[in-house]
Amino acid sequence: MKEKAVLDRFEGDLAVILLKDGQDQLVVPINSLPGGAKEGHWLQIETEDGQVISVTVDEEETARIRNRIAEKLNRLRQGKHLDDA
Amino acid sequence: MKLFDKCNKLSLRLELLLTAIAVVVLSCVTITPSISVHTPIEQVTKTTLSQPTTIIEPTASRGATVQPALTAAAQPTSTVFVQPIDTASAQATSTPSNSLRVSFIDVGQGDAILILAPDGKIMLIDGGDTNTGIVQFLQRNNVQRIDLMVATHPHSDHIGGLVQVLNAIPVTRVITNGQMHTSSIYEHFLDAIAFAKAEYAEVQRGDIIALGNLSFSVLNPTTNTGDLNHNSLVLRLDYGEVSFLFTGDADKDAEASMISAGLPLQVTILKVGHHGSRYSSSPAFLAQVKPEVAIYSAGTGNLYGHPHPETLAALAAAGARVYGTDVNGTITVITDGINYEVVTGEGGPRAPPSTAPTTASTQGSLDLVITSVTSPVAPGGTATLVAQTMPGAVCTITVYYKSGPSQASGLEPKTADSSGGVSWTWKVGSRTSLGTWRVVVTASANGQTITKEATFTVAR
Repeated sequence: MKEKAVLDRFEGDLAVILLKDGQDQLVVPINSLPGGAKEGHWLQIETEDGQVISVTVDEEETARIRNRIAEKLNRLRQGKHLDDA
Repeated sequence: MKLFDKCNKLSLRLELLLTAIAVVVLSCVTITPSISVHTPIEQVTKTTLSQPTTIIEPTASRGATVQPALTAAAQPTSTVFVQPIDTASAQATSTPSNSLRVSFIDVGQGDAILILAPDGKIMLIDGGDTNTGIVQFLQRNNVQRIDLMVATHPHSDHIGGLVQVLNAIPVTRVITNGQMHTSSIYEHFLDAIAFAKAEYAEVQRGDIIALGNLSFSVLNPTTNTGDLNHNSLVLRLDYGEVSFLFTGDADKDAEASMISAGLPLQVTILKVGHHGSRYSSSPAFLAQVKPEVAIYSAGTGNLYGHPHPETLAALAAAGARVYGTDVNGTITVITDGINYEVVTGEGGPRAPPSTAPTTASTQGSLDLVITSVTSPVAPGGTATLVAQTMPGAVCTITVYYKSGPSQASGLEPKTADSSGGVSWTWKVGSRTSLGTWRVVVTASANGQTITKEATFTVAR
């Protein structure tokens, strides 16, 4: 099974990955991630019977989501959410 | 080479980590009609990141609240007393007094700190991870609104629960360090702020955050780029002679930065940085802070080994009395600005680490005994754990394999039967790592929770 996930943080030698829209977490050793994987990177994770088969960084998805979130943050900073009917 | 093979070679078999998905969390939230308690949005001077400014919260009651008299002779004393915090905080939210209450809430692996100001204002610093019970805690303690919510930094173990609070009860204002994350939880956090129509502001070192008559000095960060933990908001609160340092996950570099800036760091009560990990709490920092009491928040049996032994040793060497939510449950500091008291456990007293009996039998009520557990079990086999506790107690079980808690079915929370018996039967996966593994069982009743551990062995 392939699914989208995001690298939330590192804890020592472990990486905490959010699955299923943040409702599930996967904790893996950092050395099982592709080199260069950073906090906030979106990933494609392939699992089989609960075992992780492969992890790849999805730079395109990361950029797309970063832009979307930056827009939402700007709306909050400008207080636009307070104006909505 | 497939990752799976590579990991086997490294003896690092990956197993999916279970995060309990209490789907019921949001759906079971009852929102009390809030017209009477929803305070109007107050004026806030927004800060800009380039120019630290002071946030001033105009309040009609400014000056009306009696600040405790400061007598130089009075020395802070500490006692553990027995008033159930449920009752205590319910009083505090409804009746102004001169007591400040700061609760370090047991949300498992994560941070959540509730501050009940003497004038009735309510502040929440972080909310633990998703589905770790912050909303239920607030409900149990009759907290029906949050005047000020602070997210120290955008990791899920700090903001996951804030999303649920924003969706459940009125929140007037949200303050962050302004650093963006690209995680799903962070996006939900921003969506929830917009949905709640909460005011939004960002602060950094040099700013002051006002909550009624209380002022929080922002000591960190100085920037909002770079490492997320490093940029955690660090807040200092002075209430009379009793002071607090709330540190989020600020790392040793952030600590060094605060020391070299000559900031006032000495406080009575330290919220230990980053769940007591070795990446915070440098000896140099602790030598400046000189805490009388140090409180960390960490989950029982967490995967990261928090709190790390060297941190506990450093805190002890610094002369602090140490409390942790994994050992003590929720920890509340109550102070009138002269004296302070530390209360542990949400529904009643729980022994601090130094005086532990871990059973509750001395109180003649809740006890928990693990009667049996199947061991050894072959991979692919079935294990059963039987325990005895108080009839009707709500019980949970967590089986910790090599890379984390098992998510096998059969390990769901259960209620003890009329004779106090409870048991779980689960399948040990055919690929489960061989070894001896911990099983943690909890029983909760009457606001008390008791935890017991056993081990069992997976062997061929």
